[in-house]
Amino acid sequence: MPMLSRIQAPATARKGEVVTVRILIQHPMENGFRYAEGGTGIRVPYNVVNRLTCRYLEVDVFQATMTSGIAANPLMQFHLLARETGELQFDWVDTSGERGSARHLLTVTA
Amino acid sequence: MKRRAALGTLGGALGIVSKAAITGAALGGLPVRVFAQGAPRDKTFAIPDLRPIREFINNRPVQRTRVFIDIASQADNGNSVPAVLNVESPMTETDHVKRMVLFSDKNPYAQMAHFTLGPFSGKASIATRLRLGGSQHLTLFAEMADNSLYADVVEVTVTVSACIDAA
Amino acid sequence: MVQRARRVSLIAAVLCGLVLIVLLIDEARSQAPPIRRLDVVRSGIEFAGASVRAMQADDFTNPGMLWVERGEALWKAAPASGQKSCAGCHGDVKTAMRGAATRYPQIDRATGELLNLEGRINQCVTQRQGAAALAYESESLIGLTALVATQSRSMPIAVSIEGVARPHFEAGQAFYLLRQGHVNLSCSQCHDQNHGRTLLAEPISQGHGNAYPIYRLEWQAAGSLHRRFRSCLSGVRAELLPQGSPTFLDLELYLAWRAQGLPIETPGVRR
Repeated sequence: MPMLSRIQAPATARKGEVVTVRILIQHPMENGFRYAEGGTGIRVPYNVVNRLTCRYLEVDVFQATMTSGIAANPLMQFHLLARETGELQFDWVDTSGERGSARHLLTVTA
Repeated sequence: MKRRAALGTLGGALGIVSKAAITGAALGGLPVRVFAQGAPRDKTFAIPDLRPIREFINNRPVQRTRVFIDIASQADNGNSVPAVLNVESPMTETDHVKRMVLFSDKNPYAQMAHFTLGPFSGKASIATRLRLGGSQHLTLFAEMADNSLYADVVEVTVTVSACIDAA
Repeated sequence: MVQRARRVSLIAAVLCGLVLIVLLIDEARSQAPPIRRLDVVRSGIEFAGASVRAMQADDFTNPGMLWVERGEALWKAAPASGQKSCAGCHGDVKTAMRGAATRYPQIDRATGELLNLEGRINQCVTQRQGAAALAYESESLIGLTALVATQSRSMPIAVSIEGVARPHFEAGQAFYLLRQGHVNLSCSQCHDQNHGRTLLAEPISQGHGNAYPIYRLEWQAAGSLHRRFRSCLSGVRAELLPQGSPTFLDLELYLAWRAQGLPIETPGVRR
């Protein structure tokens, strides 16, 4: 099942404007302490989205390294300077190796 | 010692005054209360003496100003606590935040998150939801372009659920 | 001889009279309107803290919306059996399902059984889509239930407890008023008599189901109303019944009647 995500960012911005970007990823962010269903006494292994990157115009404008200290279904809000029209490319990976990605086109007007 | 303390308090006062401006502007017009509601802070907490924090600081001086963790003083539920991590910085080529690192003195993993920023960020303000394993102190470090360190420490009370949930 | 006969007929008359009185009372009771124990009905969101309220109010940060999105994808997906997708029969979910959730649980006209939203969805999935029933707490069932329920957001709950539904309502009410578990508490004692007071640091709500399926911070996931029933039962140290059990369906109907007029809030966020 691919990781669901949603991005909230403006579709357009003026050049030089500071833009607010939000991303929400569906992921349990297992801390390794929760017991699995069924009363087997086995713990669900540690599995968190540990690296999230947002790339815009060949630059990594946001990089986050996370542990289980970030809540389940991680939400991240950050800012970036609108320079030119380009795609925000989000890529993330969890500790089990599963990858996810999402794109958002930002149109920048002069 | 006294002068540093006085400067620290002045910086703290300026921090609180500019906090409103930062959080209001940082959320790009979204209501501030969407993420967090920082209670007025009348106490200053020492940076917890933990090995991961000591290793990060690496004997550098830490200034207790410019950094502000906006988080409720009492969390509804430790599983998801909204927080806004703010650093006062013009974010220019010469004067910007390189990275922000958040530490917990209670969670199984001391380093909760590590963020890389730069002049391309425009604003040094990150909002997220934290998982807190109990009442604790959170420490946020901001490392500037010139490697100088600034920090903020906040205390959060986390209440336990009244009823056992075995569902 | 005559005296004894007179005594026997007197006793018989008294007994008949008593039986008649009992029958009359019983009939009166079954036709009596059900008792409303709440003066003002208030949604659980009013008892929640500021951060929970903010999380529910913002459709982007509300994690429950991720399950609604899953539901949207499933609504349009054709099952492996080759039958139509939900959209294939119902069309656009926004128009087709608008107001539907306000009338659940309800009696299925074809079978006479009490169905909640999950039950109705599974009826379609198994009988009309030829697929296996979706399990409670699965991404797919929560997703579809949340998708359907959210189409009725802000619309008031309006269930029927008449006719065939009435015995289910009575059974649900009886369970609600029953003291249970090691702690020996009934739902009513907390949610009717002590709502607004705190249990340790948590305010007790009135216990309505108008926001379900919810994203519960305690579960760190979305879950059904029946799962929440199980949470409460574990809290009073009573036996946990399975999701979808007849008792829970009856209780769900009683709660829906009790919450009449409250707007649906799905997907809710709760502590």
